Amino acid sequence: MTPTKSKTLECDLMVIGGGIAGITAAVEAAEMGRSVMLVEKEHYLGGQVARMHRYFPKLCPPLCGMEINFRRIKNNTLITALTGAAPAKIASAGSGYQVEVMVEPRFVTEACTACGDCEKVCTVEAPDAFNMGLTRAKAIRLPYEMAYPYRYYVDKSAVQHPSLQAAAKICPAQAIDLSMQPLLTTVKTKAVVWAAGWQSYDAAKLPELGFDVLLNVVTNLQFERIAANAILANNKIVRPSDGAPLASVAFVQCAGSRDDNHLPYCSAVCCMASLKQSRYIREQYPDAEIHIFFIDARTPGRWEDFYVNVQDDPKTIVHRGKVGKIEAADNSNLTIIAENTLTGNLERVTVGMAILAVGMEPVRGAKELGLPLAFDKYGFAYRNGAANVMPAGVAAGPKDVAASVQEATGSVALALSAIGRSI
Amino acid sequence: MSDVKLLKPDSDFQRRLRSAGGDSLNKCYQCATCAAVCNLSPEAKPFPRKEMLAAGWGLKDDLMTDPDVWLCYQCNDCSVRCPRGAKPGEVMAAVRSYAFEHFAVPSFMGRALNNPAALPLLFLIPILVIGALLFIHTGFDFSPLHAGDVEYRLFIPHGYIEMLFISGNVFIFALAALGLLKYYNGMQRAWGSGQIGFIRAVYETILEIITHNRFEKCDTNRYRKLAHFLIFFGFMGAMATAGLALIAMVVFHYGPPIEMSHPIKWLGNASGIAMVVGLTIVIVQRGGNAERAGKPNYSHWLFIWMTLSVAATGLLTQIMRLINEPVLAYPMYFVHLVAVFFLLWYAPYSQLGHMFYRTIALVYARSIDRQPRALKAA
Repeated sequence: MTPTKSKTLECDLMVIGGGIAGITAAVEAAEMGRSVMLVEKEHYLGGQVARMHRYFPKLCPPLCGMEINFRRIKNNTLITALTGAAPAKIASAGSGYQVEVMVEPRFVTEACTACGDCEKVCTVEAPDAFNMGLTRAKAIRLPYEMAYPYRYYVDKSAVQHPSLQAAAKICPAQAIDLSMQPLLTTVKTKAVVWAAGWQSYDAAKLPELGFDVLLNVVTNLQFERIAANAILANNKIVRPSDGAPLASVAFVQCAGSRDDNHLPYCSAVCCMASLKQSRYIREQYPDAEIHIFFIDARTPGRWEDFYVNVQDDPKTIVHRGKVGKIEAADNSNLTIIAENTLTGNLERVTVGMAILAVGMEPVRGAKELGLPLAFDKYGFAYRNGAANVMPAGVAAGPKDVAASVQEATGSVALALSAIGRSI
Repeated sequence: MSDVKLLKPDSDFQRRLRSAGGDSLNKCYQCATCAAVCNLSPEAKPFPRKEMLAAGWGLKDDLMTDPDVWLCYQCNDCSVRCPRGAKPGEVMAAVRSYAFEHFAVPSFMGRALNNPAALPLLFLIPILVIGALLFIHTGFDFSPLHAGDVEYRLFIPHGYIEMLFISGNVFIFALAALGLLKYYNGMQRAWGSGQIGFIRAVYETILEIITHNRFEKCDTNRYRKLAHFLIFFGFMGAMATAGLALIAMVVFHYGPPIEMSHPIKWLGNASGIAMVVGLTIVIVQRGGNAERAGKPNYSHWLFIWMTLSVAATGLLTQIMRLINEPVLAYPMYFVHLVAVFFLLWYAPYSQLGHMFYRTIALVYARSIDRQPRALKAA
């Protein structure tokens, strides 16, 4: 498919990445009276935070906070949010930049009312990326329950399927356009915020921990989806292999983190994430055994209190020692092998499910695009002279939601002050 | 207060470990991945995490009374998985290298085998001793040797050689026994007396050594089982060949030389070839793939090359005799004798000493039922 070219657009600030940092940057800039182009590669805004079941500090569902932000975007005419879109080329233009943005076809137009009739007609399924490969969904679907924009999209891999033609015919809003082509848009911007975010470290690179082989070994991000989906459907959290209730669970900290063979750095959030997730289980299963294996619990500042509270739980057992291996104990249970350095003995703990606390890797690509940013040896971005190009969020280093929001606000303030000077 | 322990860090010991290949030890952050991934480690107080801690603190007394130092076969599963590059496998090897010195009687011999500067002197001793035998027999007049066929008994009579090595070995093994006794007593003090009888433990250990079943449990360095198997049985075969040749000569007045078609010859040649093949595998792996196979320190390389020298010069000595080339044959035989002298007389102080210390540690570990799960299950 050759992309169609559209006319050149202009804005004060382009934000690349529509996760919590990018959304914050866009909203802050627009509410200061600047025009913003928000570019997000998925067909929805929200990034990784949208996947979380609960988040800190109040352990509330992040969709509440997201909804407030979506409303701020919707009501602000200064923000243009392009989803399914990614920058293809960035070049200096005057004191700003000219960005070629490639918008992938969604195959569903703005006329969509999300009535869901199409989904009933559609008979083809595809893996649901939002659920981290845990589930499959109809090829025409809403990205998630509270997606913004609140519109269906068609999974590109299934666009040829005849049942989608049928869906297009019955759509009451006539919103399905299976002939939609990619669109190349040229945008002139005075400043750029790079908030491309992160992805989980690939747990398939940890074969000794059984990921990809043992069904009940999941990543921390997958467990957020397992918990969120279960609770949303008013169900109990169960393990993937056989839907059995959780009688015992192991949290495996530093899975591929602080490790020269994998991610050499600490991702800063996994300890708190696991402690948080242990509470999801405890809320539903008062008697479940929860084992947490770690090198050291990194719970900075006031989060130490949270850790102490978890330790007070008599059925939550902390083991000081990194997990070396996870083996199948039987068809579905797992044996966790670690030395407990406090007793000096090797432990083989049998559990029903294991959650790997894998770290965060930066989404790359800024260097290839030619953005004037510098990168540390792990690929995290930092400022490099150009005051009107700022990194924010986890693209700039591992951090939690609160720190991402703070950093996005600060980045926007600096970028906008740079624009102010150049005008 | 009875369980309060006084720590006696020894900074010199620490320095020695670093220079013997353990220079990565301070990178350890005690995550215990090593102990969890080791297939040879027992479940109670597994190694090598606790040894990494002891090495980091310079706790020499702990490590020199620790059977686990020798229960480690340096599979390097730990080093490969270590998240910090602290290489526990290399540190354990460094501790073992130090042990030869620590238990050496006389102690200067232990230092000499770990010190490259002492190497010329270590070669000079066998050259002088064998040279003296040569002088006694020939008066350094080699002209009769060039007249007829190559016959090594004309060079040095076999009786001289047998006397030298038998008396030497008895003496050296007696000295080695003093070091072993010290180690065994130390282990008993630190880890308690055995529950299983000594004789039974020895018997089981010998069976284990013959089958090489501990080597099988390694994940990273599987090659090692085959390599050690070839070298071990090659070495044993070569010793047996020497013994059988002695019996043939003294009792049956047969040889030397022994006919090429005789079973003793087959054994000797098969043993020599097995050693050369096994050692070549070791050199290729340890030299070319040191990150995974383990980086040898000075004393490792010395041992590897001296063992190869013994096997290679032994085979060459025979070949030179068969092609009947006295100018090459006699010097080769001399070199072979020097190499054998070096290997056997310095055995307790060199890496060959592992056959003493590892065996006694395996016996002790069996006597206190300190076995890895992988071997217990088998």
